[in-house]
Amino acid sequence: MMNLAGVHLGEEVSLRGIRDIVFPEHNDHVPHIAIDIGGSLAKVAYFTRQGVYARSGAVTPTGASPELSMSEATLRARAPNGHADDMRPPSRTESPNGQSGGRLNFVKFETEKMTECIAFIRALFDEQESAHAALHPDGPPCPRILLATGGGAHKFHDRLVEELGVTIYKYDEMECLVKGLNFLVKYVPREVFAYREDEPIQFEETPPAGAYPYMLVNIGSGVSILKVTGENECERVSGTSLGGGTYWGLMSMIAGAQNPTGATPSFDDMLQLSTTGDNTHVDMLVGDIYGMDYGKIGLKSTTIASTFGKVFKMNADDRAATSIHDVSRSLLYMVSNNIGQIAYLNARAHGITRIYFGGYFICGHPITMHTLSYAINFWSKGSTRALFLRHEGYLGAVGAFLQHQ
Amino acid sequence: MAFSAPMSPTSTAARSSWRLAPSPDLVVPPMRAQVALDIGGSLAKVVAFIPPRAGGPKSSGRLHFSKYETAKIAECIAYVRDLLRANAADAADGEDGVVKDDDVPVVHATGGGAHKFHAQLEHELGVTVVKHDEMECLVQGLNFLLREVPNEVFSYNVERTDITGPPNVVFEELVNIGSGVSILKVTGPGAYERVSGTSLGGGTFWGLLSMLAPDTGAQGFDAMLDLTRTGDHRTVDMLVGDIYGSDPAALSTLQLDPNLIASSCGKLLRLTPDQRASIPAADIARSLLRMVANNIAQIAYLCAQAHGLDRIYFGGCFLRGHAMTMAALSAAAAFWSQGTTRAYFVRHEGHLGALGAYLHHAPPELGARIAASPGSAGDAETVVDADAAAAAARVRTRRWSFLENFTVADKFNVAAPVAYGVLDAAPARLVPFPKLPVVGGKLAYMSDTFTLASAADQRYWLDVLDARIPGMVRMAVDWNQDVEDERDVKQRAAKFESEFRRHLDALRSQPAAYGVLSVRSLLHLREQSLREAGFEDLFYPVKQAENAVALRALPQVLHDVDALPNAHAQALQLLDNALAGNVFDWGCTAILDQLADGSLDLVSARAKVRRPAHADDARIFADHVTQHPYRKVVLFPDNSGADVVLGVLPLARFFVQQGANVVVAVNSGPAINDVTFSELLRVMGQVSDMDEVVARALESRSLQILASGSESPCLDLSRVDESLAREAEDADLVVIIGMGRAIHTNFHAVLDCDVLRVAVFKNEFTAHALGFENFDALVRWTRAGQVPGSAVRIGRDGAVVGASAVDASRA
Repeated sequence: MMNLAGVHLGEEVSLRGIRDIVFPEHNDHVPHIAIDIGGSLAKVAYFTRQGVYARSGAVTPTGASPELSMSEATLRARAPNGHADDMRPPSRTESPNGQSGGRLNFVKFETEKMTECIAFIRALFDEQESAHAALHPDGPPCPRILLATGGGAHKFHDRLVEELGVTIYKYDEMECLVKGLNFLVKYVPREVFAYREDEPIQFEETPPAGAYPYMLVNIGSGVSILKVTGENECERVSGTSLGGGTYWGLMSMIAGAQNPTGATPSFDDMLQLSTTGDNTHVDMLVGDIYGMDYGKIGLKSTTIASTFGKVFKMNADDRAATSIHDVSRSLLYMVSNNIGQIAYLNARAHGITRIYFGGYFICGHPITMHTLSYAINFWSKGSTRALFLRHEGYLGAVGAFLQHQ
Repeated sequence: MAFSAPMSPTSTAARSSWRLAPSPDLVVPPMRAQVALDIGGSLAKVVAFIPPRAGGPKSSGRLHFSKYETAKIAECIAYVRDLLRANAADAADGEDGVVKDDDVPVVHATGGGAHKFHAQLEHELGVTVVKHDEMECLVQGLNFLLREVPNEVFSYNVERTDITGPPNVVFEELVNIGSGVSILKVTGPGAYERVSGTSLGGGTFWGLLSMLAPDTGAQGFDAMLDLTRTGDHRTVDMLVGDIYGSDPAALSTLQLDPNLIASSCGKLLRLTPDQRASIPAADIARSLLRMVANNIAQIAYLCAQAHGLDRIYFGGCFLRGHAMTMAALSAAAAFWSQGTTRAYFVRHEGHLGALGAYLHHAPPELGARIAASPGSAGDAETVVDADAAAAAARVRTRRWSFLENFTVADKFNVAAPVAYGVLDAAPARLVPFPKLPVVGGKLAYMSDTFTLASAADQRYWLDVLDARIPGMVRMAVDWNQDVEDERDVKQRAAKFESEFRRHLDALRSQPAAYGVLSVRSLLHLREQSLREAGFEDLFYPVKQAENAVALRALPQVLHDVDALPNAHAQALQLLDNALAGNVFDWGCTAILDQLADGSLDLVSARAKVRRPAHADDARIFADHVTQHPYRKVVLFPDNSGADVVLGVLPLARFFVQQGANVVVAVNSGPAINDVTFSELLRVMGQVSDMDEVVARALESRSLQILASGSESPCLDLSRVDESLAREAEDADLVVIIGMGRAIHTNFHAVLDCDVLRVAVFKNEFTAHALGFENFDALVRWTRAGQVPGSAVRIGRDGAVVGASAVDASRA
């Protein structure tokens, strides 16, 4: 059982570009590591103890980016009053008993590169074990426990057991998502925020008033829409197969075809391309059809009438020369708009006015968050709130981490 | 009553007065061509009303549907120009074809192209092009089809196509899938709201596919959709099984279906150039189609749920009658709604907008008023906004209906499971017969006794009709060569043979192609095929001969009836005669001889008919009718000759003598040897010369002959002539004669008044299907609300109220 007293965000972003979560009062050994293996990404959450086994540069995963994650970059850029410092969570003093607790760390791998992921986890266990052995030279050997969730917990189960020699506990994906979300919402200040274009970030109070029911839209490769009615009560009410995997799959296919070497950009880079793209080169707008607003039914001339609607009419050369930046922006709008619309319709059907968006696909991308917020605001006429999280990609991993008693 | 002497002087005056009485509601469809266009981004759809042409098939005019690629708009313009010119020439030839010089034709147009090609259309066609709002046209088009065209709606899955009857749904959702998608909530004629939409539409499918599989881009819309038939989406989509692994035990514990798509196109991630090149375009096409269709159906379902809408209709040019698309939409709607919501499609799907625009052509009698209304001079928005009321007025005042004619059928796509026909203008407005029960705002009536749902039934009837073709051809040649050019007759007969057989073959492979397949629909198709080949009334000569012979025998028949001691005996005798008359169809040459030599003997005919006790209500009907005479009787006769003259007319005369007002509702147009309106008028003239009772009844209008609105050997009471419907409001008895009207149709029908069915089974297959033998008689009398052949009675609210009085008395 984790000691949750005084939990707060880490002061600095970690080597992986994301903030740790500090557990200042937790001084016990944590023998487990949590992993959430999705269709495209494997997310890992692991605990380190200050001064016992700290984050080690030696175990930096090769796939990890030492730069700021997009979430942190976005949050910095949009900090209230423009001051990055104001983003800093309330600092905590030393723990009264002299020990300084520990931190929960986060890292992700592409599911395709499971070998790297396994090597990283093995290194973590090794490091933990040697630190533990140094503290308790006569004690029993430190158990190695992996708490796993996501589809890959089943798919890679045998391989993980074989290669890591660990005990694996599998947990239901939805349960972990909700547990992780509830923890972040309730215990971590400045974790949850609303996003509006051209406005400073607004953080939500912690814990929130009138917590239940709410909706969690988890955008991974596919999208799950959960209705959460209590601490551990949730129901998968809907979903869509148009998710991150669709965006990445289509982008990867188109970018690969355009690149002479055939190489495809990384997940983050694909999203980054959208920031300089212009979707109106590929999307058909209301104005393209009507030459004006279609005011009678409330459509502005700039509304997208048909995603990719201009592409079929292009000649083959123009089509091949289409800017990948434009494609990225169009597809990002397509996926985000669609998720926003389906999320709103489900929220409406269930009488819910608060929607949390989670899942790695968002990764703090301003266009995605803006599109989702805009869609919810547009369809609900302002009556429903779209909320985001710093650790949006790690809900399942955090939930799995907290499952261990 | 004694046998009446041949006509008295008074009846001459009477006859001319009833014969010349103008039908107050006869409104002739326009004599000018009317054209409407819906020009979209990829296709230009045309709906054209073409008035009857000299030498063409007999009709009151016809709505034609056609389509052109927008890229070839010149072809479309040429078609419309030829059509308008031909019509102007026809009109100038006709005696009342007054086309004034300042009378510039109007073409109604909608869709983006109505704006884009406006100047070109006006210039090249020499017409005024009036633009209309696209959504409004879509909704008006849909409402028109739902109201006017039976079997317009169908649902689809891979195993079967279900055509549904008239929907009677008030709140509906129209999902129009073009390049993008609009979702409209429709709450009444002209009342609609765009509640949602999505940019993931046809344009997304075509755009993404042409980019991901560049070779497909040049192939065109249909070829790209066709690719989806052979594709396997599993090489492209990430399935649940791809994420969770394929261990069946684990999956069943988790209650997960490994085949569900978790992430559309999710497998395209991080492929090597070789892997990318190895994915077939068909697989990508299939994946994208499922992505788009599934998403549209999900959003459509969620919107329908949010707005409390009963049905989802999918329309728009993306569908193109394409089976795979409809299957995907249907499956997704069923999935998301957990089976509670079905996807419906309309056969004329691609022409909704053009039809809506066509309806802006003012009906003739309203022309002046609408033309004078403010804002109608070519300004679409003003017309629309000013005129929700005028839209409603238009619906109310167009006084003729349409009958779909599959002899000129088309498909949106060669592989489409359904076809759509031209719409022939009916000579009258067709409305439900007033005595049909309405439950929960919905017409609780099905005319067809059985639809041919099983393959065996379909084959039997298609074979029967096929086998009868040579006989029909022989008759056509034999009976018409004296009056017309023999070579021409033979050519037309050959055309009938090949065309009708072509339609039967089409139905063999796709039984739902022309709507619900039933004996009624097949017989109707044969009539239409004959007419299309120029045989307007094939049986005319033989009907004339039979009528003449029967009329000669009539005085004796009436005399015999009148000689009976009381009304009870008369009723029994008249029912016997009606049955006997119905035995002898035109095919029995024996009766022709008997009639010809004046030795007609209904007694000998009666001997042929068996009278099974379970379907012989003659006695209890006679008991009832002598004690409780009916006030208003509507009779639907069957064949010409003995049937109507010796069977039905004496029965009608009996009811008149009992004090009833009697309406004989007779086919408006020819169908095999069934008696027609114009024919019966002539017969009545002769009868009133022979019989004073009939002459007086016609004079006092206690006996009326009205057109039923039907041109079929069967009877669909949901669509009868409006004047008949008005006259039948207070009917307390409906009498239905013959196999087509009382057995193939209406056998199970429940009406809000008493019904007497009199018929003889003349087809063994049908007889056995209903528990009878061939040549069994059916004399079935039911009370208002009673289910035929059962003690159950349905109340006006649709509730079962138990055994009727008649069954109590029968017990």
